[in-house]
Amino acid sequence: MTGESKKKPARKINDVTLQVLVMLGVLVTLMLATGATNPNFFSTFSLVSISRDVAIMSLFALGQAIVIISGGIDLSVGSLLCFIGVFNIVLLNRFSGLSFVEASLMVSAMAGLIGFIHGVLVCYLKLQPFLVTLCSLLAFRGLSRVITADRTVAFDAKDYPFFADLGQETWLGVPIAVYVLVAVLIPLLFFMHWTVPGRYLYAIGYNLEAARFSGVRVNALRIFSYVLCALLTTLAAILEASTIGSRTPSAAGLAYEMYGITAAVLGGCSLRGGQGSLIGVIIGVAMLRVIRSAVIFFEISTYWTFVVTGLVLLAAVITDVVVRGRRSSS
Amino acid sequence: MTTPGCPLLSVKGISKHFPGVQALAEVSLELDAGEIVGLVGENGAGKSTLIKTLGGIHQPETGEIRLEGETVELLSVRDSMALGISLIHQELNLAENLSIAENIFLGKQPYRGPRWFQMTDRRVMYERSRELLSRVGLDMSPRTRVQKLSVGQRQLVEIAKALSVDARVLILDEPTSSLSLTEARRLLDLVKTLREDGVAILYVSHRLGEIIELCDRTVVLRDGKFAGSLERAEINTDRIVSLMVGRDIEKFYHRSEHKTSEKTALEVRDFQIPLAPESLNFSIHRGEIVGFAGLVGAGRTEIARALFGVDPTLSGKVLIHDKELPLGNPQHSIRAGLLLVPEDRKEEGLVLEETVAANISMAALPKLGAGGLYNRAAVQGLASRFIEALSIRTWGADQKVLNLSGGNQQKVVLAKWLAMEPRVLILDEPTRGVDVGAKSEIYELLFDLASKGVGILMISSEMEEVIAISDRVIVMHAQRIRGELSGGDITEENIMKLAIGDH
Repeated sequence: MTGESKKKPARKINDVTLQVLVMLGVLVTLMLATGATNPNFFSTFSLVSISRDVAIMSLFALGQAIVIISGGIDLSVGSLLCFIGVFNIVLLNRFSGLSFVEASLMVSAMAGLIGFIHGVLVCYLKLQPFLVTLCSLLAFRGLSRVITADRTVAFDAKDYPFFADLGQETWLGVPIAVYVLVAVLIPLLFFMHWTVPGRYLYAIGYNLEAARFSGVRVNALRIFSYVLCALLTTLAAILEASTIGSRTPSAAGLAYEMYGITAAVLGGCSLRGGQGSLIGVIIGVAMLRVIRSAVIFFEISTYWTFVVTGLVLLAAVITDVVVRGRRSSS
Repeated sequence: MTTPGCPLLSVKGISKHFPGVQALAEVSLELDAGEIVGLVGENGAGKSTLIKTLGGIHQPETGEIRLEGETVELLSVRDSMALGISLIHQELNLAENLSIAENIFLGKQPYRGPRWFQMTDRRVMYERSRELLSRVGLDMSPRTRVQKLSVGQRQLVEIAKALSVDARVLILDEPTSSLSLTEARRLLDLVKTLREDGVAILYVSHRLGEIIELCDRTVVLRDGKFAGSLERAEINTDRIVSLMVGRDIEKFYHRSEHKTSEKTALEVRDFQIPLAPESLNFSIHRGEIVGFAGLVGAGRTEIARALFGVDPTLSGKVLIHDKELPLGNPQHSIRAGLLLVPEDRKEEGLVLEETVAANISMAALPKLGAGGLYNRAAVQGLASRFIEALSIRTWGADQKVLNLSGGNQQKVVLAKWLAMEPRVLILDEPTRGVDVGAKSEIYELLFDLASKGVGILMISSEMEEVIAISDRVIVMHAQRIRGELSGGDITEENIMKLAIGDH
């Protein structure tokens, strides 16, 4: 993303870019190692499944990353992802005249409103984002179970073929979800790097007060980041509901907020705000997903997945501190 | 105690380098009991490194430090303290939630009871605290929590803490930089008393007035080297400044003949902010520099913030070039040309982690690119234009502001506003923590802006500065405008009288 670096060879590449490159290297190594141990890793089935999961996870992780970059945090994505998926299916089952597109637009509008409320509570009532979205994490998990009486809900793929295809089909061998991710990623990258509001989100994350004292519309932009996160979560929710065909209110999207945050940190975001790379977030998500596969393919008990994930994150954070310390003193 | 002919503390030829900078090169210094030695130099001249070396924070690469003729090694803060060297930092290090006594005795509380069940001996702790507080002249209960104290009172607690370990050498780093005038006065008197008690004091300050008043001798550093030493009789502003910058600054506050316009730049009518006892009325003419004087806490910063719109206003009218400004929103103020250089440069003025270019363009960004697009070329262009115009010392527009000196950081804040066509510029303590060279450049800039018709309101607690650059001075006391001075009436005495609320 820093194309001018070739003109000035003396200039250091920035910390975040370096971290992204390192993560990419680790990811590729991990993939090759897993593939070498078990060639099934590179089978079409495995790759399609992994890339679909990565695409879906990346959608909400990108939303979380943008909130984190602007100095906030959104813990609600897992519960919201579950609630939106459940609600979408409930709408379709309850109102037979409703098309999939109509139902999706309705849940999107609702999600947008939820994000807006998060933003307003954070900006105008000055509540801590951690608490506001923690409340949503609890409330929407609960609501999902309330509206379904805690039963798994499913939709009929014959009635809603488009809905089913979104998550299940591939085009040219690549899952539709991947195309959706690319279609979202390109405008997001453009937004964060090449527009004034995008640059301001970074500035707000570093120093909210200084941005406010410079006349930046800090509240509008922060609210926008929460709305964007909720909308991206909606997209992920619809794709995941489609992939699986059903939603279990007690289990869908469980702990996804933690995946998102982990991916964001692996991808170079600082939880203090102000820095992070969207490409890095996707690499982070891919890391997490590949670790999950690797644990299976190395025939270790899957119970180890979280242990490995935790250790990888810790290693990344420690390396980051050490490397940054070195670089700033050299 | 002192061996005859041997100074209490002597530093010989110490050097220290950090990656890319020679912070200290062969610096020597002597300090005797009952003596105040000033240490001055521009930011980056090596003062901090030198005092941190004495405080045990940095270790020199060459040279030696002798205490009463004995070579000592100061490997940690603990080592220095054990030898009676206390360093009081500019940013105070007190635990705010603890009491004064607990802070003084932090880590060395007096105990009673058997070894295996020691309890703090509060009686002894409070008694000794009371003695120390009376010595530093702070009339407060040692049980008071530090968070209730003003900055000046906290400074006194720090000094009491240093005295509690029988400091023979006391190093004060910019002790008055955030004190009000009265608090600063008390501190200076205390420093003199300590000298009489036989304490050796190394006094670091940018405020040359204090150096002149206090010091028996002054050592000037420049670029990490010893630039010169002045004995008491030789200490004066011109000599110090010329040693600091290595050339003569002819007239520090030089402003050519000028006339202010009849037209008003800013008019403030019945302006009422929350918690203020009464509303305010004042105006500033185009091209006029108005000093806003008063003690810390007189309400000047609050007014500046409310005028700019980052804090709420209860009622009132603000006119800029005779047009009414909607209140309470900095975006409107910026559009109208009312700009604030805030008091807290690092928290409110700058995004430290961002580059010089990003900071300079922070407000102007929407103007630089069409349709909300980020125009990198225009940002770089704007930045290099101001880096040159204000001679901001940086290795490039892509350097993080974090790594600039205080003076250069302040110039970046100014550049951000110069890019916005100011009509009224409010500056809150613009030269705090700024070295002499950059200070004179900032004054130049203000004079230049005034000559272009900008109305300037400058809040400053540095009396010398207010007197030297203001066309008119508004003095506040207890949230009220106490009076106005202009021309020959602008004297330290007159300002002080109004500021302390004397009739």
